[in-house]
Amino acid sequence: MQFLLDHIASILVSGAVLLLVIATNLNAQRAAIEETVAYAAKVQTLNLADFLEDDLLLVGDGTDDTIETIETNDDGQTTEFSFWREDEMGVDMLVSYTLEEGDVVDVDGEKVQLYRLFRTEDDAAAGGGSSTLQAFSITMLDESGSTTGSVESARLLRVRAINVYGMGDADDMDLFRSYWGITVRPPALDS
Amino acid sequence: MSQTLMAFLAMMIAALAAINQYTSQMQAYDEAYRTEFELMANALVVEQLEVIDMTTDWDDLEDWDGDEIDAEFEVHNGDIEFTLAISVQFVDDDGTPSESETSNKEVAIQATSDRYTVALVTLTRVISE
Repeated sequence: MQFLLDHIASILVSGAVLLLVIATNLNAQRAAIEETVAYAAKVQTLNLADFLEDDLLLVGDGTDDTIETIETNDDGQTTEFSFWREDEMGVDMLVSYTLEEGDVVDVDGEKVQLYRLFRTEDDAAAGGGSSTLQAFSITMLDESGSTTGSVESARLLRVRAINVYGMGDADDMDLFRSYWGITVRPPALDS
Repeated sequence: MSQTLMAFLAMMIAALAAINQYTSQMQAYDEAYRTEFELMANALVVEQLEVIDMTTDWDDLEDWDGDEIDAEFEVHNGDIEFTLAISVQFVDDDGTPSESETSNKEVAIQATSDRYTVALVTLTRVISE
């Protein structure tokens, strides 16, 4: 006890320095994890984006028909989008994207519904999409860029997606949202 | 006296290290945030380029020159606003700006946001007669 009282000032100073160093170190670790998670989310989003962009440009490629189905739920999410295109053998093929509900995560008391995007070719699974989508929509636009419900007047396809990643513990989670959008002009929709 | 100075020095160094770490963390957040805005702006610019390309005769492309359009990108809890500034100029076959009339016009759209002083995205498309 006498020792502590004799050195109270140095103990307080070293304690404060130690706390600062530990806090800084923990914060740096957390920041590094967050940056990694954000980078992973961005890479996954951009990979999905590249694939979707290339795929949607082939709507109606080599076929008489173009867009077969486009269905949207009450939340504005596109639950099904299917279109015709030729496969590598020159045979007509129906490509479908379906959005299905996945996990529900709790973020600060808010329930966040996640979705998974499935892709099929003639009803056979052909490449899956992200399973961490919070939103996904495909909208048909006419020549003026206005939304249209008619396939005949559709010239552009506007795609929007939000990919999310959770960070932190389950009971103290932050969500990183990665936004992506593109508008493609499939050549077959011009004719 | 020297012990007091040493203690003060130790606290200063620890505090500077903490400030430095927080600053770099904020810069990383800013960069990640900006890339999100760039992606959103890119989507809007591409769409506007397609609309101009589809709806405007080549002879009338100059009508867009100098136009500024407010565009919104929908996010989960609202919209984020961008301004699209459009410019049109003649370019030669190599894409170099030309003072005289050529058979190529370059449509450039620059997206800006109130949150950033520097333009987020600029895309161009050359449309030939």
